[in-house]
Amino acid sequence: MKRAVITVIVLFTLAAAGYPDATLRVGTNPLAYPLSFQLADNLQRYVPIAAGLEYGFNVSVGYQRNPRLAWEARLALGSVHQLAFLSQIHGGLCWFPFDRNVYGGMFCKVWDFYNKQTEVHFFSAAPYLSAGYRFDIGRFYIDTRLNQTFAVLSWSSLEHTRPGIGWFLSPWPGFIPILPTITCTVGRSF
Amino acid sequence: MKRIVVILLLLPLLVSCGSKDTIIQSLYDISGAPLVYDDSGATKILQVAAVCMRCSKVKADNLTNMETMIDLIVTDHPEIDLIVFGETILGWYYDPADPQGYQLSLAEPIPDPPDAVPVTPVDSALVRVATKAFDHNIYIVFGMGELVGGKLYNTQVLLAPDRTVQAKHRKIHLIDTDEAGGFTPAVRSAADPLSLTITDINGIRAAMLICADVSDCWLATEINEQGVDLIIHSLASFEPAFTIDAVSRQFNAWEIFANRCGQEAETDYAGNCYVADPAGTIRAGGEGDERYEYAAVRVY
Repeated sequence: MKRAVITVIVLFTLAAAGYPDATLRVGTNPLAYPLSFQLADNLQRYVPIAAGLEYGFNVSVGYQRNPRLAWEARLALGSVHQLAFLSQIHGGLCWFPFDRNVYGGMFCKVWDFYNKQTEVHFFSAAPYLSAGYRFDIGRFYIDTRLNQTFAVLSWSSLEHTRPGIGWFLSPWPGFIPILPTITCTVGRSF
Repeated sequence: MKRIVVILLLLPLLVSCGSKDTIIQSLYDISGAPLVYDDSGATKILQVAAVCMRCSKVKADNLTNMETMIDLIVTDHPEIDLIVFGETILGWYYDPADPQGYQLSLAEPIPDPPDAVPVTPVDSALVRVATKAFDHNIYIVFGMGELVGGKLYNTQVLLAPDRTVQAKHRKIHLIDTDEAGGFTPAVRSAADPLSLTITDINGIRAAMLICADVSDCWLATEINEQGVDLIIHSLASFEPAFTIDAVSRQFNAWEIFANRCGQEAETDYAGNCYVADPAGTIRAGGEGDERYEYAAVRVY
């Protein structure tokens, strides 16, 4: 996970250095912060869907080289409850088809669900599609988007396990077959 | 100023493990693709069945149903070692007409481990189920109301093939309907085997949980500190089936998830019942009507 974060930071820095007219965006998802605290039961259950399933401290870095294309990476670190800590990193690109603020995105997120008591890691990688709108307010912006995963590859540090792969439209298809999430990011453009 | 902003951003990360007693499982607990858990080299094996039962409001009907189910499982799988039934399986989980009076009418005293179950009265649930355990030389776990003095506990009992009560666990983490039914919570105590219940079945170390006990931070921590191979989990849960079992991942242990199905007053139980391996992969089970789910628990 550390290597992945360092690689993303280095790539963005190099890319930004090579194109002085490019825009760099740094933001955060404010709804994710309270989720790492102990909230009321129903808030703890349902608000994560409106926070893009991000928990705790998080940062988003976007790099726009031309008006139609932007690269983006996200990092989120926080406890999901008393027993588990979640680290996740996302990377992908956004395409602005009308040269304005509406975009579609294609990302991949990798997460590590770590059981702090048994010290076992459960890793997963899931590609997902996004559709969003970015509101530009001077040098600041608010980015809202809808995300939908469609497949997942999982592996674990638990002994005697081998990776698994499957469709992933919802974490709980028995309850809701398709579960898109919402992400709201606020930040500043440079 | 910058320093303050950084500290504020990092604060949730630093203080995110709260002291609240209830664990609210997240969607990440049940996310991902099922993993392949290779148990081919396991040395300890327990053949188990998780029963999903449609409960009548009448205790005698449920006892007859349990006996029929036990006989069926033993006929289908003569090698069976352990059969697990759901929480308070002698009747409805909650009768809105008279919650407390109804639960009291179903409850019985249960001897403390390792005492033997008496042979009378013959219509007692404990006596009838212990007779089945003895006749078939198997272990049986089921949930029932336990009367102790004037108190009522939501209890899960493990009966051994020799007619003894090998273990019993009293529910710690009561929910609203338990309280309405007049149940008293067990006191959290690592020294009390009725609240932290860990037992040995054929060399496999098993912890006993009742429904929302799994959300109890104290109990989860104690069980993880002691380390177990198997979670015997009796429930009355209406939740639909999962792709990944969160409880197995919480303890990295096998789980037997025995439940109920059908309509009880306003509640419709989906019949989610399964056996899952330590990676959280469901080996047998899902939603459905009255049935049992059979699997081999294989432990290294």
